[in-house]
Amino acid sequence: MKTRDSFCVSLCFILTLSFASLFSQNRKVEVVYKANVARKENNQKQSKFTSKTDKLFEAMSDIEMILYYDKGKGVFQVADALSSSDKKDNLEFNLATILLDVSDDYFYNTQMNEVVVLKKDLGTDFHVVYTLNRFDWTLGSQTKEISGIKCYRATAANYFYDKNNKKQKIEVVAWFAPSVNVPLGPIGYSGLPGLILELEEVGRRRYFATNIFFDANFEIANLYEVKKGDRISEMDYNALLKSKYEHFHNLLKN
Amino acid sequence: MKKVILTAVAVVALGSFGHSTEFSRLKNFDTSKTESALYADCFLYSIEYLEDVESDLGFELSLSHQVLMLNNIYESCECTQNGNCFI
Repeated sequence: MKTRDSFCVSLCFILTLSFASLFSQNRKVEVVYKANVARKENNQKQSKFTSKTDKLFEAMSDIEMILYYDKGKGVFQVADALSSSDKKDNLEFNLATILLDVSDDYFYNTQMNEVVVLKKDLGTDFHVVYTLNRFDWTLGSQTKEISGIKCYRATAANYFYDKNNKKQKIEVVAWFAPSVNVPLGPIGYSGLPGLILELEEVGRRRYFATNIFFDANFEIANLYEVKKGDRISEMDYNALLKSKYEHFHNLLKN
Repeated sequence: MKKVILTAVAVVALGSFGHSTEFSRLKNFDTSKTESALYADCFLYSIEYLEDVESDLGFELSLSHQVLMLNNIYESCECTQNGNCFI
């Protein structure tokens, strides 16, 4: 009986999502995000870097990011207005984009089920390819409104390599809008049955939508600049970083 | 211990960018005392700055964050010191 009840609840949920998404098929969507980053509270320390670190945290709060989506393709990048040469020459701005993981552009392709991230940090441009549906999301029933749009809670786990090259887990909480049929979100998070309007890496970073525009004025073809060649998988890219680490660690020892 | 790890990471950072023009000069580290001193100063500065940011953050940075941040701080320090910024 319980199984039957859960089946009915799931079916109703899926039908609701499908029905709601009918209203947003084939529309251009542009979402502006901002972010905040966890900072230790009551940190009274003063050092020669204090003002620089303060500027860095200010820069992280100021940075706007935009997700463009049209016809199965999406681009996530830092907003143009903040990408002026003045900002780009600013160390704190550059560090802020690194800490927010927006120093690289993200190219989503739902038909190919991939996210391509253009990495320029090894001297050569690499297109690191991730699977769009790589997160094992658990959908919840909790809801909240973001910019007047009803969002559902979903959770997943993500991982990163620490400075000792050990894999560490991050708990991720996303709030997605089934009424907006875009399975994408900020910094590569994707694979939910609706647009992610808020995303939190618990205890680390939180990205939140500040504006959503439908039928926005952009051409995805002008933004989507994934070239053929120089493609590398996430695993190979990590192996490349690790080999660099080991090579230079050996140099240090010698 | 932390400094040793950071130093290793910094070496990786600088090494990782060894293909770029800025950092390829690191290969000639001991050919010029002046340049060596400059690199060492910026190297130490980068590590200290990163440590300061880390101590302010409420979480641990990933290896890739550290590598990228060290590179940017070092590059900024070097160009400021030798006056060759943004050429």
